Amino acid sequence: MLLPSPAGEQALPDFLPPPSSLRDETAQPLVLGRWFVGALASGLLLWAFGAEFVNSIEPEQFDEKIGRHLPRPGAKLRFRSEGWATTRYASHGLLADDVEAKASFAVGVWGDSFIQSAHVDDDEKFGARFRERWVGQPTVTTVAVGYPGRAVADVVALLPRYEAIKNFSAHVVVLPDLFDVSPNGTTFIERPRFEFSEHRREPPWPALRERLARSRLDFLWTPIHRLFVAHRNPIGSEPLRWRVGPVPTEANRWRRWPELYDVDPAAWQFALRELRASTDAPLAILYAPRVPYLDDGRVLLEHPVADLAARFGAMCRQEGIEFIDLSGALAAHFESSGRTPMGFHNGRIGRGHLNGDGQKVLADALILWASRVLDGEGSASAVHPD
Amino acid sequence: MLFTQIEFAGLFLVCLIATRWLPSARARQSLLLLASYYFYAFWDWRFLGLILLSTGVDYAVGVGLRTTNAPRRRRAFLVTSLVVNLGLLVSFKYFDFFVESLAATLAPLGWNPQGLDLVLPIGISFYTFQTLSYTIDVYRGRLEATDDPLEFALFVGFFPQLVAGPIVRASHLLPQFRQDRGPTLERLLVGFRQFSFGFFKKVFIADRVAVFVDGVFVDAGAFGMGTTWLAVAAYAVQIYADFSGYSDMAIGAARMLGYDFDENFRHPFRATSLTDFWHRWHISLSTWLRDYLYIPLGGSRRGSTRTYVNLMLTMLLGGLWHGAAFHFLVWGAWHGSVLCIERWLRGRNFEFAGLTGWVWSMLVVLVGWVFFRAQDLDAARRMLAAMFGVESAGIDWWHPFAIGAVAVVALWHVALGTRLRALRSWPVGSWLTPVLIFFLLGLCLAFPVGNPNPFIYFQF
Repeated sequence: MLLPSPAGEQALPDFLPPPSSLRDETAQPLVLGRWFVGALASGLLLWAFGAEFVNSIEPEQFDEKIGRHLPRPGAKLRFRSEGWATTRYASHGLLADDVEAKASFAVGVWGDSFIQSAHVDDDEKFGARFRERWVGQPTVTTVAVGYPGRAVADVVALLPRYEAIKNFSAHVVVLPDLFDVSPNGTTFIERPRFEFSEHRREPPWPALRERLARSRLDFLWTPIHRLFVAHRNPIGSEPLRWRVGPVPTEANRWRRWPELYDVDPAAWQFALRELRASTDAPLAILYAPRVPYLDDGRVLLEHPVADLAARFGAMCRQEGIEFIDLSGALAAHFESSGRTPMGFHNGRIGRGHLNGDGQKVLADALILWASRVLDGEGSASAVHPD
Repeated sequence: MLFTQIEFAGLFLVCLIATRWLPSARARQSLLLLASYYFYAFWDWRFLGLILLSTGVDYAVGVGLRTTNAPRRRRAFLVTSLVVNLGLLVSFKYFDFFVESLAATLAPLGWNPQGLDLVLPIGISFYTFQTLSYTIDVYRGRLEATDDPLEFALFVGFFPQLVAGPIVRASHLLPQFRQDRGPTLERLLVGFRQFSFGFFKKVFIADRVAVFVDGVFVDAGAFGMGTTWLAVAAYAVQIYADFSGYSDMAIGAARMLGYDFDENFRHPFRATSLTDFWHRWHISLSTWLRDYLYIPLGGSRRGSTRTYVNLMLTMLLGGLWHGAAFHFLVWGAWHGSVLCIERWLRGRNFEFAGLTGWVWSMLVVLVGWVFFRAQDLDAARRMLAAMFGVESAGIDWWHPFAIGAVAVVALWHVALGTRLRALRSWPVGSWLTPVLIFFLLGLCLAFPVGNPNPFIYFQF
């Protein structure tokens, strides 16, 4: 049975409450009251919704030994915007699973968000895959030291500090992009002088983040951050801009190859030398570019800067750093499975971070390298279950 | 300025408060005109000159038409308006397209004409059509020309519909400006409800679906058949949510200020033929094309062959109106051809209806969107080849939000066939309305997309 409808509006299904007529002026305060209460009630709904669907805020604390703001021991990061995962942290920003693993040989795996791997659950991360697939003695584990935005310069600074608190037997620096070697480029100075200097970034509004995290009001952080901290439009990460013509969809947003080819090789050499000097342990650079590479509908199994990567690899070896190019393994995985190792269904397939498939490919490559390192010491071998 | 920009909220609030308290309709008109010009100039103040030129010329033409009955003079006035308005539109929107097309043809002869490389002023297609409808209506004697320049300037520049419609007729809007209108609580809440739904459709649905759609279209041919079909369906949802969202925001904003616009969309994905689709999609444009192009060309009054020609011409120009590119022209030709086929079948007592009609119309519309959205004709070809299993690299991408959005929009269109359609006008006095509205707005803020997209129809 339908309720009687107000003038100009259609009949309502039974489950809807009867409206108050706004034409009746005495009802107006009641309606305004309902809107006020409704706004509050919607906040409760958002709170409940946000608890599952919004990335959580994990307030960072300054780690005296590492010299960086890092997630607290015991923190749990809920990540939903690319992939769907939860990550547990131990002390010094290390992953809890890596720290809890019992092993006599630890390989430090360094990098940016690729290595942080917040996009996949702990049991799908390359570290878990590594431990799962590693067979033989001694027991080996990887310890991921990844944080968004890090480059080789960060590794140079942080590697000795982590070695002081944990016993690493070898290190691998994972580079998804050659820009991470020398992100500032050096093309305009005739005789450049290279140096690394440390700049500490303070996280914005720590007290507010802390309070929001404690109250489980994570969903408020993004709009607040964008409106007041980043001074940007609250519904987007960049100021809204006009673009007339086709809606902007660049085929290759990351195609900065000319800039990459312009980088002074001396800058790379400097970074590699500094990196090599930062530790005595065996050291490798693992290059994991976006392969397969989608280029205007074509699927390329070789990354467009493969020639440059080969030159970079030769430079690494010259500096006493082993260079592992994962391109072939990533391409082979795609060819055999039809699945891209990078990108998530809720993000952008073929672009983005290593997904579950990519983590396995990375784990396999690390197993091979760790086996070789151990073979060099003549004491261990790795057997791959598959 | 965009409706989704924080600056708009400030401007709108000022307008709302001022129009509530300003004592006369005249004062309100002045304020709204200033606000409208500020709204437009926020993008680039230099292009205000075009609006002022168009406004000045059409106001003068209207006054001229009002003062003379001589057919030759009246025709001269009309031609002046057409030349100025279409001249601006052609210069800014189509000149480079024609020159580049010509250059491609003449290249073998060694002649290489250069375009003007002009920036397309936002909303020029919309306000040009709006002012043209005014002068044509006055010329035809269907509308009395206004002698109030302020009122006319506001009709052209009224900010809720300035940059992306709906294309409001003068006969509908001018009388409202003369009435003593202003915000009331009921108008405020009803308008806010519609604005909020539009905001949600644009920011939460269209912009998020765009991430998937853009990814598939930009690498057309790399994805498998299922993914490509999903992307095309998702694009249908995106453009619907984007443009009907804009229309909802425009209508809602105008209503809050005390003015009424007609609806621009009527559940287009319930259409059971392409003809039906055009009665539901971008209604203000389709009725404009009907009244000012199709019917003056002769409509269906001059025999069947001429009717088909008129239909094709109307849709080809409708395609070009959307953009100066061959893929828009092909989109128009596709729609024109199918409309001709449907007309031919109707002449033989066959009419698409029911489920068959729905499947037919959706197929036609989706294939049409491929031409509409693709970067160029080659990308459209690759998309179609993937959709029909001819050629693709076969990568699968099942974007959960896109799947959800397509499902929700489909279910919503199904629900509109039941009594649940009453939800469209959920009473603003009920408890649940504010909960729902603020929840939807909260979702937009808590789940922003990385790079917000401008409204798709701003480019037209």
